[in-house]
Amino acid sequence: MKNLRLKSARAALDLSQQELAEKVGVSRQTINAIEKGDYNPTIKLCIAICKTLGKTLNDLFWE
Amino acid sequence: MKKKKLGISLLILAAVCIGALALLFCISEKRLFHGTIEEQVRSSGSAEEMHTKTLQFTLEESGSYRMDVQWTPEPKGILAGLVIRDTEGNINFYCTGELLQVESKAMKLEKGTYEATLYFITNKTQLEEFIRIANPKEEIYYNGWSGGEHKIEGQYDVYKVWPETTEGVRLYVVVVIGIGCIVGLILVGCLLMASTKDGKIKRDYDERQQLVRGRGFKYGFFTMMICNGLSAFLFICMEKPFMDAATASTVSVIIAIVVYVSYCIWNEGYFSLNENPKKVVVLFLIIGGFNVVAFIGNAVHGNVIQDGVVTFRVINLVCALMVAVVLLVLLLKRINGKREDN
Repeated sequence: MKNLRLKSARAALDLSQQELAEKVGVSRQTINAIEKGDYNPTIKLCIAICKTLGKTLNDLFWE
Repeated sequence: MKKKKLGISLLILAAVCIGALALLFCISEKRLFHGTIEEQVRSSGSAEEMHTKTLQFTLEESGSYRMDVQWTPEPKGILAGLVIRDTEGNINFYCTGELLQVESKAMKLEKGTYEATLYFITNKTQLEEFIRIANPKEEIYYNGWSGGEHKIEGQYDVYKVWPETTEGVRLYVVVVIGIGCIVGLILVGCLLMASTKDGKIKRDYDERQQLVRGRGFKYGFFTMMICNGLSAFLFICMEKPFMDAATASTVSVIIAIVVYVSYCIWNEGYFSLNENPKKVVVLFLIIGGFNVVAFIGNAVHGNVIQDGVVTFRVINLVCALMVAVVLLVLLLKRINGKREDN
């Protein structure tokens, strides 16, 4: 399932996938895979993404 | 960073120079005799027709010596005998061997002039004749003749006598292998550093990439198991395998590497976070180019296929093909990625 909430949160901060990836410390392809729903990130990465985007885990990853 | 690169370059240069000097020292100082023989020797029947070649050499010092005869192309199943006589005709040394490397046997010879005779043995009668000539008093153990006549075709050249003690050989081998390993490690380290953005050797992969690489390893491992199983099956079933065992197992490893790398590239887990893909592609092209050149050199000399069997020298071609496949997967992934982005 696509993670549109992550995509919109990233777009709201005017960040590209590459920029978010660099801030979080992963590859662009990994952010792309998370947004497309191809990869389920670990809680560690989820927290890192939430901190970077200023969101909570509930906002971005809770169904 | 520049200082670091300069230091590594100087280190490589020093290692190469030391290696070259060591090699030159070992070759130029220790070799006493050097000659070239080029002729065609064909199988012959009777003991009287046994082909021999005699060469004289003088030793300026007493000690342990080693003889080396090199063949072009490498023959299969040739048995050659060597007898060394002094000026009075006394036999000082004899041996037989497929390639006459004399292996670990060192010839202990005194200072003086000697006559070395090579016997090219092509059948059982000739082997028995050689034994009679080389050692008429004692019995020489041999495994017997494997059957049939051995046809000797080709050239043999580079005929050397080396004064080498066992310690000398060990030291020489250790020094050369050691230098080779050091140079190789430094080179690999430099190439690894050159292909990253930050000049580090260590690759950083994120969690998804590590997962992909783990799966890639798994598929590569199973591929290697299947290939090894297949090659073992072929070796059991086929009377005359089309390639030797070492080549078959190395090809299995290369196929496994292709599977692993292709899987990682396709699932975007091959290039680390700090790696520059363009530099890696350039590196692949260089490696592929070197292998193609090496393969052409071997093919021109007719070393790739001998007696209908593919030899280890085909590995250069397999490596070049591996690089080509990897580059093709990279290209396809790039095209696919662009399509997805659009």
